[in-house]
Amino acid sequence: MSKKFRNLHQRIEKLKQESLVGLREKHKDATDYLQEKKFFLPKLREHSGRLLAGATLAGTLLLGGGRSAEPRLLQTSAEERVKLGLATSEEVKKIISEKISQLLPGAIGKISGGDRDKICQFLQEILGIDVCFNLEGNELNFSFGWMGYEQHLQRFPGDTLAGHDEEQVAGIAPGLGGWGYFAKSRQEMTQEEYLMEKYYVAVQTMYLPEWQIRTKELSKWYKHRKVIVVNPENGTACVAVVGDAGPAAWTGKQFGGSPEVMKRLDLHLGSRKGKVLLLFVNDPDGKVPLGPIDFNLKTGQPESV
Amino acid sequence: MFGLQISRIRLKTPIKKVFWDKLIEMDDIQIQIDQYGLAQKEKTELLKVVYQTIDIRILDVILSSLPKEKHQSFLDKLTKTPQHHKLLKFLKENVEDIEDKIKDLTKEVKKEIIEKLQEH
Repeated sequence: MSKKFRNLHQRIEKLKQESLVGLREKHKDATDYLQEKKFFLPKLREHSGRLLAGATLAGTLLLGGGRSAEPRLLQTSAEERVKLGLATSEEVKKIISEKISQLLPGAIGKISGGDRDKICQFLQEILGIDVCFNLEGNELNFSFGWMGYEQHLQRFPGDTLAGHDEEQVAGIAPGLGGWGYFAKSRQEMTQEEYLMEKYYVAVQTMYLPEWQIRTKELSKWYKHRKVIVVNPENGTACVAVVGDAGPAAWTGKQFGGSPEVMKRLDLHLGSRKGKVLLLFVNDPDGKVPLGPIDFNLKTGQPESV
Repeated sequence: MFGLQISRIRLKTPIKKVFWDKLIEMDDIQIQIDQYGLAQKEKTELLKVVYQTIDIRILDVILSSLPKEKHQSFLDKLTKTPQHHKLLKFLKENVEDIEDKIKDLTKEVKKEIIEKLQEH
């Protein structure tokens, strides 16, 4: 892409982000509702295209072979229907839970070679996201471990708990996250930055073998690095960014999740912790949206099955 | 003359329609974008983000005009079939002069966009 394009694109993108923030401030209920439906407004037109593609695939299944339509669709396995964008959210979660639980070790830690490939391939097929344990030579000490419930982080100077629109029970951390503020000011906060705090995780970068000698380089690499967190107990999954460093080893936990991440994984009540799988998302073009995911991103989510 | 200029923007990935497209005129933006000598792919990407910005602002004006109790019903319809002509019918039944409001808003946003594009 040319410098001219980047310059023009950046100006309009900024206007778009400001428009999104303005919309959210004026119509919080409506934007929350869209978010619950996993409807990313800027992709409104693309969303329409995905539904049309979904309908074509459904038609092929229903009409092929000259047999009764309904049995043919029902005969297709749930796993196949997920790949075609024709399964329900509950089916997706059930498949993820069953399959991932089989592949995970009993104890927390790293996962062995063969199972790593199977997990990545499986999640890629089911969710349509490129995920991996090792990205660009970087890997966490744990990919399967305990995740605890964290507090909200300050998004910009002067940010208070009252400004966070969900899970206020979590409180707000008095200090800054490991990578500082997400935005320069409330006025300049983009929709992307707003979502980064909403869906952040803490990972133990400070215990990485080379952290002491490559601190600057690794810190830069991990800052807001996109990851996916999967709760194998119930098959829920959430895309998030690395927004903080921690927790300390003495806590017995290996990851921290923002209040919203923990809520999406259904780990926000009771002991507020659970064993999760955490992988990198290879998303150089920034196409994978942050937040919960229970459908195949490539084929889309059907309105009904 | 304008027709010839506009036809130069051929989108590899056609931008899908939404129901308010019939109310908005995008030729002036397309002509503006065509002046920068960008590659085809770059024009497409730029036009996409322009449409996204306009879409967000139009939704803003719709939600500001539509009674709050109708929001969920409208959003359900919009997310299901954003291109369906019945959405405009629904809005016209619930908001006075919604077409004019969308048209006026679009003019304002397009002006902002063109000004942003022309910034140096």
